[in-house]
Amino acid sequence: MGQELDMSQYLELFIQEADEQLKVLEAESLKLESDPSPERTQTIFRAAHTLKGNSRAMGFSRFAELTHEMESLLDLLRNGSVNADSAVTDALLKGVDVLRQMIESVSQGRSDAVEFQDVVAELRALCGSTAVPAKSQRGEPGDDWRSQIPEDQIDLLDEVASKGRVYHAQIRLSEACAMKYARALMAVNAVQEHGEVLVTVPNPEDLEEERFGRDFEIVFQSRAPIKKIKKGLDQISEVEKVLLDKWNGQKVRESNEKAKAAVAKMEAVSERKAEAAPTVRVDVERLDTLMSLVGELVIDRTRIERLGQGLSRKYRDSGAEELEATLAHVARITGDLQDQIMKARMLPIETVFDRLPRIVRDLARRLGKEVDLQLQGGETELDRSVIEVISDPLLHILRNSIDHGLETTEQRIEAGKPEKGTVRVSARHKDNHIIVEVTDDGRGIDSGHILAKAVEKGLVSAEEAKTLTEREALQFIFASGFSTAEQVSEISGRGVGMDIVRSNVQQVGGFIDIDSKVGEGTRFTLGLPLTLAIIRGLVIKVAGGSYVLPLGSIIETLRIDRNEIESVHSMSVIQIRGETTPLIDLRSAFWPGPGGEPEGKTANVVVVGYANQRVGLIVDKLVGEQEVVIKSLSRYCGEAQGVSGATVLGDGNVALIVDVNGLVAAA
Amino acid sequence: MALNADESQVHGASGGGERQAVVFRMASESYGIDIFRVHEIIRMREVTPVPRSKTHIRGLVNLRGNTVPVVDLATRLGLERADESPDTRIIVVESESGDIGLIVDAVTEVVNLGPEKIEQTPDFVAERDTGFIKGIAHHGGRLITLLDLDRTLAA
Repeated sequence: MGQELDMSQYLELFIQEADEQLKVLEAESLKLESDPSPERTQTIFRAAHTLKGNSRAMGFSRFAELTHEMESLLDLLRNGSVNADSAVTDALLKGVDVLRQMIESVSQGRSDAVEFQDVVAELRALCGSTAVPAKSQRGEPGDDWRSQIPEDQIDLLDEVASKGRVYHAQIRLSEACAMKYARALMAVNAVQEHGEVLVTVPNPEDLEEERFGRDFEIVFQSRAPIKKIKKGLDQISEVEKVLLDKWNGQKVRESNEKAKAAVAKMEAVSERKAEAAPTVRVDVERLDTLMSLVGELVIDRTRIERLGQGLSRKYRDSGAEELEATLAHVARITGDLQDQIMKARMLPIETVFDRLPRIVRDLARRLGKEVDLQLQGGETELDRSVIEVISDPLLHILRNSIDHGLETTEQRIEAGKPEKGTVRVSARHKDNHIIVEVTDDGRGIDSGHILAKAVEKGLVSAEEAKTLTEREALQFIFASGFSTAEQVSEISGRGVGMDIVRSNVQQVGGFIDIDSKVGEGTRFTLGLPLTLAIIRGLVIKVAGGSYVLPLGSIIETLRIDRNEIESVHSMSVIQIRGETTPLIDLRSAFWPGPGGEPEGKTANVVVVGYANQRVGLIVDKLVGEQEVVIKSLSRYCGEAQGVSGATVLGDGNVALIVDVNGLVAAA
Repeated sequence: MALNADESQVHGASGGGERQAVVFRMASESYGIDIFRVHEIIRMREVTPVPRSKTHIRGLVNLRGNTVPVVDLATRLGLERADESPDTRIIVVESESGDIGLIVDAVTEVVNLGPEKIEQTPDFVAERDTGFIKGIAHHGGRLITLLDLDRTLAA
């Protein structure tokens, strides 16, 4: 049993790491077409290689086989015998998809048995279509063989070279060479037969002490023909290679620069590693636990505060004062603690952005459009809980922009725009919100068109429509059942869409806005609170129970006369400033069945926004505003319509969070 | 939590070993549940009802800042529901959907039950068995009905 446990621990680690490497593999493969730099290819190759090694260690043979095939293709890519075209990217991405399926299967406790021969065939075809590359055709010393002649001596040698013939010999000894100094000395002697040694690298002393690797250099003056000297050097045994040329200071300088750059890069890498060192991986669950522990602390603090207040009323002495001061301090510390843990839960929005290039590429190819996706502000941080809710609306808007927003290539050419459409997704912080904007340079939205449709659908009267500004008219995009796409496409449209997006966003205390200019493009602005773990809400009482309404969805609270309630289609409504507002009595909505007669002549109503509508909720009592930590409802309670979660109030009792969308849907 | 589960497996595997059960009273009868499934026993406290949930779910309680659903065990077992008394307790047990509280009239003791003390559900009980009973144990001249927690807590 112990062994099994160990294996499962490794498995978790393997899955985690595979996930990360696959992300790299996918992201870099996507960039490959536009920028097939050797560094990029190397990065992808390394990711595939790591995956292969890990999966072999875990005994996932299919996973290993597929990564091996990908590696082979990447190898050809790396040495330039295959070009990074879209077919290569496609095959690599398909490979990533299949690997993901394997991981999924493995993480569910099954094997890695996922159909993968198609991808393998595709990868092999790409490898096979090119001639097998000859191993390193360049006889020249590789990148690693660089001149090491010091800067100040180059100038000197240049001067000597301007007056006479100067040669530069770079000599590499064989790996097995046992007597490096003896060979070096022979080389120096061979050169001296024909001329005079000016400089050796390393210097003669280091040569004698064998303080060098396999390479050394000799710069010398000579009148003998180059061939003769070369022959002499080549005859020395245990010399693997000799490069002999006329002195070229410029070349040496360049080579030096390159060497320096390489060293700098290495240092940068190791520095980055050093920077990353003081972080630790923490299980998300642990952070959640910390968060709820702090939540408890906050609740207990409130209770102690109440007890303290009672005590200080009873005993007016210095002890009570001290208690108050201490409690104030505890309050500050718990507040800070909460902030810090909130920060620890923050993730950069990159985790969402990383998925976008792939989605956009697939979508663009399907639609036959060319799209340049620009991502900005990926480092903007937000709470894990928000990351989860931001993806869906963001993807929806993005798909919309590409599908409906951007014109086809022909239309763009006709309109005198660049062939490639641009979609920019940017993120930033503003106050307590994260703002994500999706901007396209497409055809824009005609507000007149929208208004006509709104009038046609009876969303607004023709007279009223005339008084609306362009911006107000655009808001109808978010009205339920409103879809302007002439052709409902597979990607977006279908009538469900923006209205759902908007109400989901509002549900968590966010907002969505649109701005558009015909012919120039459209901008969607999505705003979400930085965290969903804590919300400000209005505590209300219904049938003796406490409930919390998210403040973000509340428009106003008012007191109405029950006599003013009318009935339309057996639905209660009330006129609020001339506007007919549907009413939902929370008491009967939550507790159906024969209830008692409503108490009193008046009722408390909380008006909330739902999609484009307002709905009035009749509640028993308004208690007050409070910041609450949201807990998800236990699965055991089932799908409680109208309730989205629970929280513990300052008095220690549990209150339920009202889900306005669910409530209206159920009514 | 995981440790408990492992131990119960070990005990289960050993077969002939002693088992401990938490015994509680419901409508003047004794019931028992496997101690390894019990996280803690707390006093009765304010329960917040959840709208439109099943009738045997009484609501949610605050357990050190977490919200835990509590089941009205009497309703669930088809017994008469007793009034709340100072003896009323909530037994917090582990389930597939996380912690769940069971409201019982009183918790009486923890007993060791050897396999020789446990017998299959007698026919007269099985006839009106709701599927929640795992067996009957004899202890100190009394009968203890052993509950099958998973079935009792199943939706």
